Amino acid sequence: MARAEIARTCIMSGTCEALVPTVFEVDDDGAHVLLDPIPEDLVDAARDAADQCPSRALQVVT
Amino acid sequence: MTGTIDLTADEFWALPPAARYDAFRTLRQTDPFAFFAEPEIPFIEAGPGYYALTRHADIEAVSSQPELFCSGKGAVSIPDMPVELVEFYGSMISMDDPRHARIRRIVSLTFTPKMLDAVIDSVSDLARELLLQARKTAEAGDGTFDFVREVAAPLPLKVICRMMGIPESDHAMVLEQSNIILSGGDPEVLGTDSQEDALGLFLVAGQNLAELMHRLAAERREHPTDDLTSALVNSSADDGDALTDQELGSFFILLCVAGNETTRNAISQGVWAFHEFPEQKQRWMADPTLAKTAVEEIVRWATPVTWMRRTATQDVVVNGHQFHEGDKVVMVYGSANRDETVFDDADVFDIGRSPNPHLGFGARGPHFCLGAHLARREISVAFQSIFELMPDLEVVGEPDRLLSSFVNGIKRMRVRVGQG
Repeated sequence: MARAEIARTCIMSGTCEALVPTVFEVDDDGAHVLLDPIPEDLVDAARDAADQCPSRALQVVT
Repeated sequence: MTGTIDLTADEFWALPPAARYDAFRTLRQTDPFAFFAEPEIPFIEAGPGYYALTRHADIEAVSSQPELFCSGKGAVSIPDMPVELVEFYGSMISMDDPRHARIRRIVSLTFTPKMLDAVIDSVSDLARELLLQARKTAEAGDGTFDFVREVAAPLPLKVICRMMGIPESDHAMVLEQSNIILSGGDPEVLGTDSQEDALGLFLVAGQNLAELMHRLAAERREHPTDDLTSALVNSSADDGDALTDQELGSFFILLCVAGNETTRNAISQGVWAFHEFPEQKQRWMADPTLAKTAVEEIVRWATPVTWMRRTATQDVVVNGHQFHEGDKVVMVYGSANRDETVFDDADVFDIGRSPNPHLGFGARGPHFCLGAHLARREISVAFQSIFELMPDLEVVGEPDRLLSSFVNGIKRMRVRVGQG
């Protein structure tokens, strides 16, 4: 089971939401995880979003 | 057709914006990996040339693969500069991981939306102060004032200086020196036509900004305050890592350049856009909930930074184009943000545009603008303050544009208040 964690270094670039909008949402308070745990079929996409997070704030942990 | 387009020529960047956007469209549609000779600059040997990427998808592909397309050979200059200069002026923008990641991590901890809350709260007061002062200036004269000098330039500058804890008495120096660094060689800004003199001014400007920060760093190590400089030199990182004096100096130059001129030009270009599309101004004034999409559209429309460079680290194919190790690649955000395959009616300024996947803060990847949040808030507050305090603001004539390929700048823009 994979879960997403967002650290306080989030700068709200919107990268995660752009890549996986069903799992992530970014508003004025920062990024939020909409689905916890992450559905199986979206884990790879979420990992990709974590790799691309410019502030390295997003982590996918299992 | 593309044979007549030369992105290296000063003449190209002196063209009216509409002519430049037409040329970008031609490149996107007929020559999306166009190759150009490099600009000639004094003391530096001319390089092999560069590929200009003008399509949104190609820029996304390059930007999101930093291991294939690096920044360490230079991100803000097409000719290869000596590595000391690249890092001095570019800081982490011209570095690759792991060094980039280290500086970014230290800075990120102090640059989070929560940490910036206090500064952002003061943006509104600052904007009001500047607008009220500008109105006084206009009323004391012929009813007009230079919007750039009175509002768009001082607002982001003062925000950054306050964040860093720079004394009020040094603000004018910071503005003047950062103008020189980002002049793009515009002879009017530099006050000289000589490229050698320009280079000298550029070097001195960097030194002056770095020295100011070295002085401030020493003070804040001794007596920390709640400003960003204190946090950066005393470190809030879990592992106790902090910036050295030299890293702080370079970071400040980056901040001056990246956080100052960019926001200034987004605000100025936004005012010009509302002049060209007055119905959009009425629309936002009538419906403040449009602020979020309006700010994104202003950033897309303005694209204050026209391009960034990357360099291929190995032979690689991107969307059908073969790059070779060492190839220089220039990502023309100004073109990508008008890409008709991504944006409907790309040449229309539409403050309700959604989705708006513009590349005004850079494309996906490790170098995405760290200050995007701050910039968004500054732009939003600036326009809300203008609508409230200066709903009668009107642009008079064409703005004077900066002659630069890198910064989509406005030097002066005369506006009138009090005509209705």
